[in-house]
Amino acid sequence: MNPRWINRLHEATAKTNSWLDGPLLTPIRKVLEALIVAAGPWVLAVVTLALIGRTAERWLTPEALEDIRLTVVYAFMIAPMVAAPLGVTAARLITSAAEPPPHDSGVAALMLVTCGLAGITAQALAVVVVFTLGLSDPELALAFVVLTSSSAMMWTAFTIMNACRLRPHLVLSFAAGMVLALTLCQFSIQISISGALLVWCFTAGIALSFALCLAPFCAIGLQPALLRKTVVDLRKTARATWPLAAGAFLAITGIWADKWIAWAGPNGLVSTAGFAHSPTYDSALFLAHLSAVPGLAALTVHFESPARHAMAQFQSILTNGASLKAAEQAGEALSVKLWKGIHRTLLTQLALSGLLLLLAPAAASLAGLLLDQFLILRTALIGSLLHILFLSTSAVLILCNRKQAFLTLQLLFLATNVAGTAILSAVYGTTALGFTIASALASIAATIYAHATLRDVLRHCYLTGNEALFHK
Amino acid sequence: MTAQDKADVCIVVEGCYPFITGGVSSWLDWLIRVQPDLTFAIVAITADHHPREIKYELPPNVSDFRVLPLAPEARRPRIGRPLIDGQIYGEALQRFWGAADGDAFETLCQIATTPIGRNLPALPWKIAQPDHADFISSQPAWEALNICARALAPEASYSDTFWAWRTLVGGVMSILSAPLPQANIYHAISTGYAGLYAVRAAREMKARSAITEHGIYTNERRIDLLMAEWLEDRIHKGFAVHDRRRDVRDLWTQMFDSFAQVAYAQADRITTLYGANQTFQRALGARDDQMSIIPNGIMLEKFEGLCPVQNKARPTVGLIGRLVPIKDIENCIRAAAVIRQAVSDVEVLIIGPTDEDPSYFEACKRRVAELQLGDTVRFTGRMNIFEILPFLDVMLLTSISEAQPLVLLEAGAARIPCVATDVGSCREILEGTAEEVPALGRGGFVVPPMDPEALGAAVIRLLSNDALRKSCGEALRKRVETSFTSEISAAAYGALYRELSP
Repeated sequence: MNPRWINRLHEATAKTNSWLDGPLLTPIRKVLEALIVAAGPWVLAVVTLALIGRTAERWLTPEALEDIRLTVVYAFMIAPMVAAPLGVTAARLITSAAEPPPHDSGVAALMLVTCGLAGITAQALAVVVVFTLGLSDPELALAFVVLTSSSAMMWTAFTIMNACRLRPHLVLSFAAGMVLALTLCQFSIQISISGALLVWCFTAGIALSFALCLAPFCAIGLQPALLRKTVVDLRKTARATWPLAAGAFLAITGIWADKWIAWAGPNGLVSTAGFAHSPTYDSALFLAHLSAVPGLAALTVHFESPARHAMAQFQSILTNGASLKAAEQAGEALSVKLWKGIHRTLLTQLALSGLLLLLAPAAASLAGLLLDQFLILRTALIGSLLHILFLSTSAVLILCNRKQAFLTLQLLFLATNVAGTAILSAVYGTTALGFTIASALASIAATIYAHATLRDVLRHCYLTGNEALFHK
Repeated sequence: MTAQDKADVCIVVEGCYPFITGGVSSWLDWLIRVQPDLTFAIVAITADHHPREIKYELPPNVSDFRVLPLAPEARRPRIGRPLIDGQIYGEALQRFWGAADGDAFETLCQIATTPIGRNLPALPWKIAQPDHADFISSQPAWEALNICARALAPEASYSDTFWAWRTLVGGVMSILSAPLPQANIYHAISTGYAGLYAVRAAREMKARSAITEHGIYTNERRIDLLMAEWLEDRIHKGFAVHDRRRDVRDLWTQMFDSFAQVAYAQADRITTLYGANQTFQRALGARDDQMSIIPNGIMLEKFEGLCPVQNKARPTVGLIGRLVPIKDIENCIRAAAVIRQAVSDVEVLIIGPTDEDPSYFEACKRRVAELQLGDTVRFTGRMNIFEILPFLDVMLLTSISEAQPLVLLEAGAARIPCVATDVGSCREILEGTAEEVPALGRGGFVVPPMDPEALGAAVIRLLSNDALRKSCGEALRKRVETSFTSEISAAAYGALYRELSP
């Protein structure tokens, strides 16, 4: 990319930052950034698909529209499964440095290596899915494979940029990509229309987002030796943080497990192109998951800023020679701050979920849900609320570096979600009870773990979570 | 080398033989070789598990050699909480550390060697000896750490206490849990970890133990700790003498004192090189019936035929020793400046390895440059002592801590008068003891440590008076012949081993 354009991009980022500065706009900006980091691509997908659905329904058959939707859903299912573990490992590599460098060659190499790895892996998985499902439309299948790998790369890049605290740039890249995706979709509808073309338009937006994420690093010349070193470093970090990466993978898998069971169940269907799905279950669950996006954003804001600062303050007190008593008091203060943030997040989500529970009939009719789906939606809304609690308390474990506990809990959620959904759907048919019960159990276990961790935070800080003791 | 039959003597040595040359290592090599009828096992205690180069060829009568790292390779505790009672472990450590309690030492020995089970998810019925990670990184270890921190140094920096605890307790538990070679006598060449290992081994193997101290281990550690820059004093007591708050530096010192007290209390015999050391040993609980003095000796025949070089161009003063702060080489350089004022053509040779503390060597070179002593002071590096001694008119020793320096005896054997700081047994060697009959006279001069003026003045006095220099050299030679020969020393150690043998 032309360096002049890169400079302009930097300027635009800086300007956006200054426009959105101030006592009122800063918190809004932070929430917006968190929203994009936590669920941006999902929101993009929902908005784009809704717009495409509205605009293209005159030209496309409902089956074709469904295939477009399912292509995006499948791509966004596979991409985070690859991006989350890789992104977490790369982010750990960055945050383990004393001061994460924003635009240096090390980060550029890391971005290239990690995103490349994510893209290749996601592409391979997508190909496996194509052949396993036997997708009938080659054009759509190709678009699906490219969309999956682009999304995986974009998501990985988002995680790395977030670790480098390059959020304004991230937001700008995402916004530009979103605008392009929507414009191209609208434009292509006017000219000629096919399912695959619309997926390509969407893919173009995602690819632009990813390209803009990479743009600041384009001017940096990368030596092969640096790339080799990055691979070695990444492997070393992966050896130390594998439970975290595996936990992130299981967390994403856990969210999808009940859907897979529903797809394979009696209500499961196969689309024209060959995608397995369960419209009754999927629509209700996707709506319920969308309801948790604000909570997820609030959680991200809390753990990215106040919680991180509280932890830094706690560690600073310890390193500045605090006595045992002072260290214990600092630990208690940290615990209070973390729980306060979690309570606030949960209260916000509780209010929103409560409102949606009450408004569920209206939401169901707006989204065109049937009675069965309406009941599933209500159960899933409760499940999503509990899932936010689960994620909040899991985040405490990550903050205190309790990687094994985090992994165990994600495994517990996945196992209970699979078992619960399979058993309950066999007994009662399609409900979201399996997901809700799994969320409830996992959130209870995670809360107990988080309480125990914060009660014993000194031990976890000095001993169990202290990498320096065990990795020389 | 692996364990063979039961050895006559198990030597327990910390941080020197066979990995570091000179000093105690040379002496130990000599000790084993002069007792050819006895078999020896050697336990060499090292700071960590990293492999080290063996600098001595092990004598043929060494039947077992093993290395005992105080800090084995770090790893996380095995799965499942070890069933060690953290409260009992912590209280035993606290009593051992704070009060040198012998019963607490027994408890720690039991904890270290008793097989234990583990909580789920480990197999609860499977029992095994706890490992190092269980002692310093498990939940019971954490409880023990907090008991110690609360009782021993509640005001100290918790971070510093944590690291001190891990290092010291980790070392103790390595010592107490290590396998033991079979031997009739366990002979530690210092207190510290070696002393603890020897008394533990003697108790468990129903054998006897002895401790030989060249320098007083606790004093040497105290000096190291006072000079340690990696320890930060965080409690500022000002001039308050009654302030009983303890900083982490105090914890370290106290632990080493406790090591010595427990080892002295349980050892059968305690020997040292000279009388002044016994005062320190008594202060840490050694009893008179345990204690004896066995001076070091040198092989006089090796020095026969050494003739001073005549008609040298310049008068020469030599210091033989490693270039490390404890030898106070900077003091020697300052003294050289004093000497040069009176004896302008004097040459001061600093003879010894320079690679042990490169930053100190650099500091010494800077001092030479600052004092414009480039023509006077020369760092020769390591040299053959028999080649250099004939060139020396006066031998210098500037250490701030010594035991019984061999260089003074070697200088005496070569009839070279010495000027030494008043540390260790320097005064006994150079001036003789009150019990010396007949009094042999002075073999040189003893001056206060860190006093370059006094050091320089004494050297000038010797250099400017040929008769005095000659008489001092002869007196020192006579003293070495009567009290410090290798035969005398070897016989004394032989007698000690015979006395302790079953």
